[in-house]
Amino acid sequence: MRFFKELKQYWGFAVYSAKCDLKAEVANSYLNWLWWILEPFCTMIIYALVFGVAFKTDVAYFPIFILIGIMMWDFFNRLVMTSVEMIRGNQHIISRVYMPKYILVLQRMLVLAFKMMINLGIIIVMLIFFRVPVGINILFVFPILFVYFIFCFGCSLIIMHFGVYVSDLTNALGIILNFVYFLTGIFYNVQDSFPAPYGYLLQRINPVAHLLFCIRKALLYNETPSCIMLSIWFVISIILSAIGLKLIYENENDYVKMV
Amino acid sequence: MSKEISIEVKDVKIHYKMMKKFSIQRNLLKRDADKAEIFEAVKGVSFDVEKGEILGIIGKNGSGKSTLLRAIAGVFSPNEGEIDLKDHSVSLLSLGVGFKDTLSGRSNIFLSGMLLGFSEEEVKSKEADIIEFSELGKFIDMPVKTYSSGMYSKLAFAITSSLETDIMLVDEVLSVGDEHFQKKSLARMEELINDRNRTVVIVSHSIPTLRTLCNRVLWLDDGLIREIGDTETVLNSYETYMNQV
Repeated sequence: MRFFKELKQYWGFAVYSAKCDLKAEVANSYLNWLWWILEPFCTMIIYALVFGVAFKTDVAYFPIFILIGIMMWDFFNRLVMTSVEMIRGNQHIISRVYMPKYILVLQRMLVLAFKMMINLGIIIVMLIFFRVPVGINILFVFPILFVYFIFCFGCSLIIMHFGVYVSDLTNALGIILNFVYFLTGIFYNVQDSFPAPYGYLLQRINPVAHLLFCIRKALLYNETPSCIMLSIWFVISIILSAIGLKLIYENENDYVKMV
Repeated sequence: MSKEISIEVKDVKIHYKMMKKFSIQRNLLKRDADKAEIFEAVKGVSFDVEKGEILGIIGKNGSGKSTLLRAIAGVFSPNEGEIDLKDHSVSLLSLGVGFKDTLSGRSNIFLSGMLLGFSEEEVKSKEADIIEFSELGKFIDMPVKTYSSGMYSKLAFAITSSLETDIMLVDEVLSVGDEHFQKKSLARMEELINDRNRTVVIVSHSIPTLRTLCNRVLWLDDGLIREIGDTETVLNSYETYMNQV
């Protein structure tokens, strides 16, 4: 298939380019790579103070609970937001050389995945620090993240495609993402916070919320996430990605010519 | 004797959709559907280029020269017709492809090279040559945004001219930098172009450049071939035509 052939061919570029982006990000800042740790850590402290102290939440291990939320949300949010402008922002490249356009999304995903791994590192340190009992279920992190990556990839491809044609998509998307943010339960438990059937439904219908729910189960509560739900979202994510790829392959000629 | 054909262009048509951007806000307020106007830049062009040949493309602004060249480079595929490169590697010689301003010159060598389809190892083997040719010295490890425009184009030229492909497409980038570097880059260009195994297509406005470099010239007028053939003949008729208008 064309996708895999080109993936093999351009993978090296994507990785190198992602490395360069990460290097450039810290090269000129005073605290250097410490920012990658400080940023999620400080956000966690703010949330923990506001919701833990002021709103008196009763969620166990609240700081870790939040940190997992931030880790998952940041990846999705940043990726989707940058995807809107991705074609326009890289016009100088794509108007002069052919590249499969999804490589742009992939490159961005690599950058964000690296930051996510740092975040995960902090979480593991905190799990040890708070003496959270972990078990074999922690291994579920990998399939969950795998599904999550494919889901985000699919979403971003579709957003990237429409971002070329719809000039104010950024504004609209900002509002939608804000809404999704509150329905995802970064700082609260979706299932328990809404009245009876709705919380349960929302937690399963909203993929970001569901995968967040799964990964919290695996990391924090040593419970097995629902493999059926995970498989369903895996299939949906694959379909989303396929739609995205089809859109992009069919329209990539026009992207170059759009000014 | 039949010669090996390197580029085969058959009935190629390329159009641009002159589309106004769709906006949610605008479409909610008034429901006038934006109609896409179609502008045809290349209107059915066929020609072959033999291996080792140097073909010049001339024509006035907006005649579709650059569009055709970009289609041959694969930046976009033609709307109708076919371009067959017979599996040769191709590059459009344009300066600073994929440059990121915040990165060092060295990183940009790799980025640009890998984007043009070379592996990291291949770029690595050319790295020293590129740095030497660019004459940047210690500046190679400084961010590109600190470069002067001359330094920028020297580096860009060094990269594109060091990463050689079977087919080279040139769009008006024949000399850059100060006078010394201009001579050097022109010499490098001539060396690349005159390689018997390399097929070259040059788009230019400059009659003297094409006269010295090309074996054959194609005159593109308003998206169609007006004349194709021997360099002297085509350039002479082009010159006469241009003097009339």
